[in-house]
This record gives sequence, structure tokens and C-alpha cells, in this order.
Amino acid sequence: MVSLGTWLRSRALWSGACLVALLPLAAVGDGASDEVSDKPAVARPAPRTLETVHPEANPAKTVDGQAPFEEAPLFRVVTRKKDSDMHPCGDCHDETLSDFKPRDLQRPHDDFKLEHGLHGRGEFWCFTCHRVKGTGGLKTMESERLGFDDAYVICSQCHAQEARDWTHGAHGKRVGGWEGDRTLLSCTVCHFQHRPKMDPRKAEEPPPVRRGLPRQDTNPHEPLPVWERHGAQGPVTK
Amino acid sequence: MSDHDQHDDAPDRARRRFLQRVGTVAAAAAAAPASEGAWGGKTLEDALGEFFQDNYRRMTPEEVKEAIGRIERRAKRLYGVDITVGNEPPLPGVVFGYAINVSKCRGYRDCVRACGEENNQSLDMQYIRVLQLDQGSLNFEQAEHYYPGDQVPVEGKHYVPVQCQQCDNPPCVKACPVGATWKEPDGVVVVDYDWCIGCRYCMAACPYQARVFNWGAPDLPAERINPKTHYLGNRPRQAGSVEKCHFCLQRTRVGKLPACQEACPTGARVFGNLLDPESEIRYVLEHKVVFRLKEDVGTEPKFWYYRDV
Repeated sequence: MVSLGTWLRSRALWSGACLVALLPLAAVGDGASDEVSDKPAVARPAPRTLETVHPEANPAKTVDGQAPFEEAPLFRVVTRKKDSDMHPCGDCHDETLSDFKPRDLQRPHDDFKLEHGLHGRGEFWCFTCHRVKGTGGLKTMESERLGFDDAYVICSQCHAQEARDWTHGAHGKRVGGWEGDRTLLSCTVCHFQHRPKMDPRKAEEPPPVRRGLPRQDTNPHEPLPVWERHGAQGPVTK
Repeated sequence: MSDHDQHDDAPDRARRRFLQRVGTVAAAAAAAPASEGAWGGKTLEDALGEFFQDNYRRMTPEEVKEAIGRIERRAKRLYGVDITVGNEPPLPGVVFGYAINVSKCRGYRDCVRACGEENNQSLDMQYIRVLQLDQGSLNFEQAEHYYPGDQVPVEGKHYVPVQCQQCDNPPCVKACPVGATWKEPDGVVVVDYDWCIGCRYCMAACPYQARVFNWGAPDLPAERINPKTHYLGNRPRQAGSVEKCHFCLQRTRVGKLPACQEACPTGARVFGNLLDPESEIRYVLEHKVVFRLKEDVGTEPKFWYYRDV
């Protein structure tokens, strides 16, 4: 039930995102120039301050007629450690001119996979989110420059409902304390941006049974619920 | 007459046997604990102080201070650990509330582990039970909290963590015959572990199976003890007392977040002040479809569940 709902909603978001995505693809697809770097950087308050939120940073999508960050209470953002160190694109791409067209990547990027919604299906491309020149910053669909610390603005362009919930505290995670200034983990702390889906993993140990009782069989192929194992009698129905 | 004599003689013999046994036990008791001192390792003052210790709510601040000293010395004696027992009062204008996003919970049980480490739980008990349910079902009769943790989430299942719901109308408080459990002004239902007589009526009264009982001396390795404790929170307990989730009073009353919220890797847990209209929990309550467990029994939990819809 839950997964179906999530799936349907993501389909809706994706189709919306697809339309928006085609515009910048068309722009960078002709490979003329990096139009983003020619524009002056938008005056954006320094990241990781309480002023990070500003409603006029208005992405394409809205929820109930409101932009994701509209009326949001102030917050600070904890960004992922060394995010910019992990993406030193500028080290090579300042010198090397890139082919902007979506294509199968060649060495040394042939092992890189985009598995982010439509990204993996050729709809998105590196330069949907990344700036081509410079130290490898980010940009919005509307070619507004962003640093890696403002990555949540990129995500909010499509995931508007999540972004709205995140700014208000119903999605994501607050750290530090429950009162006073709000400090939130940025999207990319939990979701790897190129492959945001989380894999199943091992859980912590099941609880021990009460002292004196036999240890429960934790065989994953055990079809019986716990109250029917070890010859225990189920609830009396007669 | 002889009949009367015979009749009198029987209890006399029984009394003599009983006194003999008492003598034996007393001799054994005197001999055995010689290594740990006459009062089980305590001073006579501590032993008497523990015996005459009052209910927390009736103690004067000086008596609380003395009791805290005894608890700290007891922890040092039993576990060899220096703990500090706090006594932070409820914050004015604060009522704590909790919400869990069941769409986000993936059954990792990280909250359960963190809760145990934070709250000095005996290794054989846990405050949080993560229930595994069929997707689309909230039938708690069929819930499984012993599910193996090899690979979660399991296809077709969803997970609902259940812990003390901090009811506003708590049936456990009504059931306690000695007033050892009560609701604090910040909404948290707490237990005076020393005043608890271990009758477990509260456990029978709780519709959420949120209380646990120390059947034996708590199994607490010294290296696992969290030395930052609270009188009504995570201080080491003793055999025969009932305990439960207390929203990490030792943390939340100084502005920190509960251990389970900090440990949750999916951000499914939202904690905050219900009286603050700007708080995150209030946003969840006002903008999400929320539900509470067993609302029909009228316990008014301050613990909500919501979904990403």
C-alpha cells in the first residue's frame, strides 16, 4: 500500500520533472557554450546560516500554490562532509572541453551510473544539475548558480512536497536539539544524489525472549509467527 | 486435659523448628557476606536511608539530594562506575510529543539499540518494539517484533515502532496501588523505581505493552553504563521494578533530542514541544494525516503516527 502510493507519486513527480528537464537539455544539448558561467552569480546568502532560506529562490514546482520554502521557519543546514572534495570536476574539466550531449560515458567515467529516477534513462544528464566550468558547482533548471551546500534547492525543483516537509520538519532529520535554532541534515546526507534509493540492509538483533523461555527460532524461512513456534499453543478459539 | 496438652504441643514443636531454621539462616547470613560488609556493602546510614526513602514526590530537596548520593554510591559499588544522577525539573510551557512517519520506518531497529545504550537497559529488555506488519494492515494481533534482521525492509511488509505512548490519560497510573508512577507536568509518565513494589498491575493496565519488568538483577556490563542519568529516567534500576520509555528525560529536559530520534537513519522520528505552534511536531499534526494507536480506549496518547501522503 505504502510502496504503491510512493510509486504513483514519484511517477507524477517524474513526469513533471521530465518536462522541466527538457528545457535545459535543449540549451546545453547544442553544445555551444556554458551559458551558466557567463551569467553573474545570483546574490545568494552564505550557506549554513539562518538566512539560507529565502522564498524568492523559487523553483519550478509548488505545493498548494506555495513554493517549497515559502513560510518556512528558519533553519541551518548540515551539508555532507567534503561534498565538493568528492566532485573535483574542475581539476580536469577546466582544461578539457566536454561533450555536452547525453551519451554513453567513456573512460574514466564509464563506471559511473546515474540511477536517480529519470536520470538513469537518459532524460537527465550531468549538466542538468552541474555547472560545466569552474570548480564544479551546481545550477538550477533556471541556470541559477548554486554551491554544493545549497544542493537541497536543486532537489526541491522536482521534489517540492518533500522539500516543503523538510523545511517544516516532517521529512528529514533535525539534529542538535528540539528547541532553539533548527539544524537540519541536507538531502544529500541521507540520499546519495546519483542513486538516492536506499537498499535493504541488515537490522539490529531481534529482542531477546524473557528469561527462562527458550530462545526464539530466528530462521528467516520460518513461516510460523512466534506464538505458534516451539509447540506453543495459539489462542484458544473453541 | 491431655487432649489440650497434645494440642498445645504441636505448634510448640513447629515454633522450635522454625526458630532453629532462623538460627541457621542467620548464621549463614552472618558468615557469607563477611567479605562485603555487614550491610551488603553499604554503610549502615545508606542501608537505613534506602529503607526509609520516601516517594520522590514527597521528598524535600535535601532528601532528594541524599537519595541521589545513595544511588550514585550504589552504582559505584555494584558496577564500579561513577554516574551522575540529575534531577532536572520539567520545563515550563513544555509538553512533549512524538510522531513517527511509518512510510519512512524500514525496520532497522537502530532506535532499539540506541535506546538500550542510552537508558542503561538490562540486556534482556527493550523499551521499543518494532512491529513488522503486512503491508496495508494495522492488525496488531498479527504483528511480529521478533522478525529476523538479515535483510530489511522485507518485501510486502511495513514497520511500526511502538514504545510508551505517554498517554494523557494513563491507565498505568490509575492501576498503580502505591503511587509509584505518575504523569509529570511536561506530559511524561515516569516511575519512581525505588517506590515501585513490582506488582506489575501497570503492565497489565497498559494497552500498548510498553512497560517492562526486571525479573532479576539487571544485566548491566560496566562498560555499557551511560553515566549521565536522571532520577526519573535512566539511572540504573534494580530487580523487581517496572520501567519504561520516559522520552529520555535526562536529554530532553536539557534541550537535547531523544536517543531514538538521534539514532534513526531514515528521519522517521519527529520530537518536539506540543505547546509551541512553530514546532515540527505541530506541523506534522496540522499538515499530515495522523493516527494514534488504540484511540478507542481513550488513553489520549501523545504519540502519533503519520504517512507520507
